[in-house]
Amino acid sequence: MKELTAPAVRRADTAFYLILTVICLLYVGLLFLLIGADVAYMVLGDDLPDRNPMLDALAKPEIRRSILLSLGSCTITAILSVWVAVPIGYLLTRVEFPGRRLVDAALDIPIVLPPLVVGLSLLILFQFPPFSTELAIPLGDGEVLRLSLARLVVYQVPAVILAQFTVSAAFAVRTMKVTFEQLNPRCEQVALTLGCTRSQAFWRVVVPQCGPGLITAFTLSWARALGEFGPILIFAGATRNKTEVLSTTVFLELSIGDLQAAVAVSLIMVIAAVVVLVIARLWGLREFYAEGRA
Amino acid sequence: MKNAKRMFLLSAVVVVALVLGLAKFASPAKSAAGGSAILVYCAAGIKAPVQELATQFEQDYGVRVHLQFGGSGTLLSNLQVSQQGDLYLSADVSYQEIARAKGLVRELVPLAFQKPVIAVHKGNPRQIRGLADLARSDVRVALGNPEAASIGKQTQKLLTASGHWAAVAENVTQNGVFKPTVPEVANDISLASVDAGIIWDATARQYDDIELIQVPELDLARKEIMIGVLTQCTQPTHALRFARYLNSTVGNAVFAAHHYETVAGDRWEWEPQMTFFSGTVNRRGIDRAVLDFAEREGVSMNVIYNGCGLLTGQMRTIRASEQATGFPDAYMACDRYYLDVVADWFKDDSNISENRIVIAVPKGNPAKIATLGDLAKPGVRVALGQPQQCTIGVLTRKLLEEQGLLDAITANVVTETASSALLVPAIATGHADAAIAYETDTLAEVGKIDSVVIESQLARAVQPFSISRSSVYQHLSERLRAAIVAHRDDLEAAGFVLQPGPEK
Amino acid sequence: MIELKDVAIAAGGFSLAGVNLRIPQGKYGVLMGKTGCGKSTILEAIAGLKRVTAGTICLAGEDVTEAKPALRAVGFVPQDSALFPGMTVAENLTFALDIRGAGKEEQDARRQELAGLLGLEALLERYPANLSGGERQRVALGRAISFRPTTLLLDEPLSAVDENTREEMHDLLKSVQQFSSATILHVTHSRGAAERLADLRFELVDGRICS
Repeated sequence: MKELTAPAVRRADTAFYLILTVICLLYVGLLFLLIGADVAYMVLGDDLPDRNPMLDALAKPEIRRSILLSLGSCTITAILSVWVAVPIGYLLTRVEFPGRRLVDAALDIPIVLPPLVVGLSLLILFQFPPFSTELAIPLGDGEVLRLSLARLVVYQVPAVILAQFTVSAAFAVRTMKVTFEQLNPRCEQVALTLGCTRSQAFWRVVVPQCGPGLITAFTLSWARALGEFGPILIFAGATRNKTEVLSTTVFLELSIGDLQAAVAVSLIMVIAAVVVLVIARLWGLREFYAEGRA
Repeated sequence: MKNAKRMFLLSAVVVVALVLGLAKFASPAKSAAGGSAILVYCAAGIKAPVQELATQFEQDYGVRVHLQFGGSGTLLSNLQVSQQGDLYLSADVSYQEIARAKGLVRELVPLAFQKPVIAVHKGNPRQIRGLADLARSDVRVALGNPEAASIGKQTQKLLTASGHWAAVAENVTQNGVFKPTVPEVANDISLASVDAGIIWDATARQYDDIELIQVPELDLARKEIMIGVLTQCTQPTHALRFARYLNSTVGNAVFAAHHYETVAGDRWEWEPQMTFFSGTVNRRGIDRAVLDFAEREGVSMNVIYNGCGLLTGQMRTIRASEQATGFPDAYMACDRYYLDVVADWFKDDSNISENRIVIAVPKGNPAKIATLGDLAKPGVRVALGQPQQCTIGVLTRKLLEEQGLLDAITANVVTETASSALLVPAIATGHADAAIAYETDTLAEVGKIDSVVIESQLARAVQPFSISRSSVYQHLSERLRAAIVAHRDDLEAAGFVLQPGPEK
Repeated sequence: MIELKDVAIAAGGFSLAGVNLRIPQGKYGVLMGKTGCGKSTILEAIAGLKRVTAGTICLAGEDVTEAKPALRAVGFVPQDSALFPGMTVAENLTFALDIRGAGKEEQDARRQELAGLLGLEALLERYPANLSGGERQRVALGRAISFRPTTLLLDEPLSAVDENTREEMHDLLKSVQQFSSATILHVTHSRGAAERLADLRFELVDGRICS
């Protein structure tokens, strides 16, 4: 039997921390290297070194529109995803119902399916009634107003939101499910005995406890929506000044061989994402420090 | 988070605000129709249907349509002198062609057909059977003035060709009269102040007391009536809207009611939605043309740029389902290959431009690639397009097969990309030594890429523009084609070589 | 009163059957048994948080077997207190009244009453995270009796409390019994508490209750 000596233990612990640090540095380092490479490419490869490709990109009205549309649609998608994720997460964790495991598995579909397949499936879905059924409203003089869900959605802005939502919501649901699983069910039970209906217990006791989970679900959905590309391309098109979002802008710039512009827009995306995520985290944490909980 | 319900309501408010914001943002301010007016120079013979449609258009959309009537030739002089006006509708296409040649007219929109006929008073008291009868001294003949009215010019041309002109003109000068416009000729016949004349079939049909006699020599002159948008027009979008209105199924109905044989018009919408598929390669050459077109015509364009393989796949999906929503009205492929596979659904294709295929190498050509054969040298890393997924892949394969180099080069291929867009980056980032790519793609990164010319007839892609058979915007699509071709500077700047236009 | 007749419950890995229990109105009953043999399960069933597969439960003379927890007038103090973490002690105490739409004055009055009874005056603005185990139990107790339930269920309320405080807690529980006049069922594995507090004693052995 060996004696435990202080230096031996110290050496072992140091080695342990060292290994952890190295692994951390490797991955985080890789991430920073990627961004650094993009910046370097953009800055160095220029024929005109006194022009900033990012400012050039921001100067174009199409790109500004793309940024606004991205911010708007990602926020809407994230909020809708959370609205959907909370009830579904609750249902899956608290309520016993037949087919629960099936629903649980089904919610993995958008995560597992390749994004292009999601986009294609949406496009195909909208070819069927009732999405494709047209209401023809005659407006006189032979002119007819044609309305159908397909016309209002496909290749229009709502398609961007739908495509983003279909995938983002799945991530939000996963997050909320884990959040609810980790909650102490006793609190809810006590609330019931104190006179709450299930709905009252849900709003006044369960949801307020989910704060960090909600923030995580929102930011995860937002980030996923920003990065979504395949479904948007197929279902919403990448029409300049109409359904162009930042991710498809990168593709469009790449497709005309303008690598610098593509990289510039990519970096704009990174900055936008970081800003929003930092704001969301800070705001969320502040709420919780106020309540005396870390 | 004290009050979860309040958070929820707050988020709902945010969503509604964003949705409204996006809705406003998605439909950029539409130019208000009310309060504007357009001036149309309209040949007198076509007055009836145009007048009716102008009134309807005004009532429905609040755009005032001022019509100035006269003989086609007279009107043409007028508009040149006054430097004002938006549209010119002449009775036959030859005047439009003069206007075009003088650079006075930009877009031409076809409306209906007409041809000259011999018109006589009901009952044909003078027993007129053919052109020869018009030379008889007992027949008083009225004709349109060849200098003033297009009917006059046509008549002169046709009768000169058939050999009747000299005699008939003599007769007219002696016993008959030259009138400056078609309605005046028609009126004379109707009032029996003359016995016969030559006017447009549609005009003739408008009078109950005129009979028309079709004659093979005159049938030769069946032409389209076209309305032209003047270059000097200050509000092209309204002008084009009215032109579209006349051309549309709405206009067709009115023209038909006035006994015209109409063209197959486009569907009428104030702001049509058109879908246009184009290969990614074309984008730099046509993007601005398409945007300008959409703005000028007041059309909402869905432009989908993608690899042709994906585009044709999408087309098949749409066709396979019942509703055809989303099927493109027009399609410009990266090469004829990807039009031929869907040729059944399209028509009227013409080759817009040509794009050379070259070998892209890093600047300075370090591997000293001079011919396709050099790609087989050991150690050369080659990037190619995948033959099943993109046009460049298909064309590359054909090229290599022709030169018998396919097997030799295969060993050197490091990547087969799914799209032409990914070939140049492979060279720019130094991961491949050579790629067979479109010349137009290499021009974007001229600082990093050199291109080596390939000596072969197959080293080129030809971009065809075609219109979908099922499109309800056939004429609009035709004008899109014209707009793309008109922006030749963009195409050439992007590295495309324009093809000679189709014989019309 | 609390009356269980031939109650059977299927829960977790084990099942209870033929459970019979009777505590007259206002009396203090103590249920003992080895850890993990189903004592908490019985409490949950009485509170309406677990379904019974057979038998009837009567509280204060009424058959509540099919009734929802909110309608049973049951106060429940779980083993880990389960205070609402986002609310202050004051808010926890008046929660039940707030749900029933009581006015501000009524809530203030009840809060003072409970705080006085349980010694919570100094803690009213604190959050549960900043309370000790014993303090939390007292708040949970106050919360449970705030709406004057006819039945009070206590699941090992003294487990988180140290030796010295335990005596105080026993006194507190006695005064709570007098204050609320509810029928109390107290689950514990401590003989000391049973001796001190119980009017009736029960033991859960192999799924059955014996007096």
